[in-house]
Amino acid sequence: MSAIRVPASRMEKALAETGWRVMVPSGAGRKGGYVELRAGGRLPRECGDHTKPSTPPKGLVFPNNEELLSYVLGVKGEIEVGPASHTMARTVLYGTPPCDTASFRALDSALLKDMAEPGYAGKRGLLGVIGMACSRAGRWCFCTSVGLSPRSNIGADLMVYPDGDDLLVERVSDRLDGLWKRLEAGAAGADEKALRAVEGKFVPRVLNFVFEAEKLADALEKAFGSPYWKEFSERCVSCGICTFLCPTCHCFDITDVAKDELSGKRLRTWDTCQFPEFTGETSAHNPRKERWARQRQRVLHKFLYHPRNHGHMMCTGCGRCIRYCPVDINIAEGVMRLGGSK
Amino acid sequence: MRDYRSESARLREIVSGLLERGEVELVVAWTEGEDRPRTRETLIGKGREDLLRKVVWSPFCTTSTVTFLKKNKAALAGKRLGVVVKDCDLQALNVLLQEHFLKREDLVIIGVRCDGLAEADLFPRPEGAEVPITSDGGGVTVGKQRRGGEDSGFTTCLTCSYEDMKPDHVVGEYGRKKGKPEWGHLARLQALEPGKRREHYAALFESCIRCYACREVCPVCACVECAIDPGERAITPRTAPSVKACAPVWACRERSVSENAVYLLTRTMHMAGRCVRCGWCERACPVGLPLMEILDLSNDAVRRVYRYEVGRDPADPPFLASYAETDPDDKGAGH
Repeated sequence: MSAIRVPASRMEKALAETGWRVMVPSGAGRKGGYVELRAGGRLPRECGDHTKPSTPPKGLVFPNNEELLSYVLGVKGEIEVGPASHTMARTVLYGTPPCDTASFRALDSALLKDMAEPGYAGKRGLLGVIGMACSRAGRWCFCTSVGLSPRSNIGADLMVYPDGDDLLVERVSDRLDGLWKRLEAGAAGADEKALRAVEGKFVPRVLNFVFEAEKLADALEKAFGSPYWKEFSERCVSCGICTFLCPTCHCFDITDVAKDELSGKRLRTWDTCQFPEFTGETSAHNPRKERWARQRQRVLHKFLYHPRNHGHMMCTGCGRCIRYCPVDINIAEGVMRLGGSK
Repeated sequence: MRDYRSESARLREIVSGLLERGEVELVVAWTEGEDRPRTRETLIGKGREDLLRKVVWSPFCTTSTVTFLKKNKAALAGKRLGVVVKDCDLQALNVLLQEHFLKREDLVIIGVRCDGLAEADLFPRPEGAEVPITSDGGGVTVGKQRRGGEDSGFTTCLTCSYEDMKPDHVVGEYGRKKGKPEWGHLARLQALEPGKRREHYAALFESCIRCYACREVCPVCACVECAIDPGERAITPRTAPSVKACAPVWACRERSVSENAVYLLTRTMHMAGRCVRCGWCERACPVGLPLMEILDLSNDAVRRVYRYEVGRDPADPPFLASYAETDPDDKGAGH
């Protein structure tokens, strides 16, 4: 059995029994975030653009401020390196919309595949993701254009479809089997047909554009020298909003922070291709000095380089970069212009 | 009742006239983009005639054309430009003119009389170009949806007192009496006991993600090299210690209350006598920080202690370059 029907209250009870930390979206927009559910708190019963926080869930496993190591210089000149803490409490992320759920596929392919990055891997191994079908598309949503949908379960370990007071729960991976067994015991099964019936309620917003990954990558490759990049980024102010709020962007910077002459720590913080000094070299040469070159890098990383390397787009269509861009730069508009197909 | 469709038509006449008569090479104006009623800054001119018909003025022109001028300074150097400005943009432009960042003779300034901005995303997307956008004394209407000032606008606009600036061309007439600057929030914060006040600011600083949007959108933040993250600094084995000493790291990249405070408070200090209270930093902040609350710490001192009005006239001396015998000394400043 890979899908069951349980009352929503049962999910609450089962999650509480595990003792795991549960993180849920706390509210929509700028004031929202993924926060810890307090003991006895109610799990979200629906998800959609109206519950989507401006900050994505990536910070849980890829924090904006992460200590990689600490050091102390001893009296004899020996250097003592403090162990890096690549761990966190066992955590379940509950109620992520499919765009945020799918972000973990992109993050995993960049930070786990081939060579696992210990800081990310340590925490990622302790995270389970319970995605939820999305019931309301927003003005900037375009998940259906990037191969996802309001009901896709990519990146999820369990997928939840709200149906009245019940939840249809689908087992997508074995990562949350501990929880799954608690839910499964004595629960009514939900066959494929029932699942599809509930899924049918989550109607994808019909957008008039679809990005076909391979065609798009080819078209963008040809558009590398296009004059449109300058027009696209003419009003860009080079802030970090589009990338810091992106659920899949994962560039970082590493700096040593001295506490005093004898001790300090090594930090990892979010970085962005949009900052002028992002590609600054020690020689003072900077290959991407211009804003258009940096915006081009952002678009091509998402729709050309990452798809070529990993087989899927590094964009989940969540629309945050469009919604929160202070100067109305619209990545979907740019991509359409350079290689999309209606 | 103001009708922004007809005011936009008037604006287009002025812009196309300036271009046709060759008075300017290019005009920085707002146009309607893909996501109406949102607007965006756009360069209008030769080779971009198709964009002229999209030029628009409405309460949704929430960005700053002055920031656009600043960001494209190198590309626009030496060109005679038209620039469409709201009252707060004009204040900011005056600050930059006072500091000789731009030359007045290079600019033709087209002022739009602003009754306060509204957040485009709160209104339905107008289907069709003919959907009317209007405002009355207290609210903005798009098609059939009206929202009152408090529900559609920004706190900075509700208390904006700027008016009657002197641009070269004017579009529109004020439809409401301008407000009075509101400083009650500062008094409330300062009345808190120090521990509570510290908690309040610490929570604010802690939420900052250091995307620097507040700095980047600011129309008057004009340093080529920001003290917080100097990007042009090249350190090679041959760099003299004296050169390195001139580029200290004031705030490291750590996201913490103390480092974020260094960033946000440094910005506040550097904005003294320059901040025009347009509020764009606050509107842009992706985590919703009340940034004006911090900036107003220095704005209040400039206003109350030195009685300096920011950006009123391009011929005024800049705040930090002006001195009057009557300026209070430290004792008189009441700090």
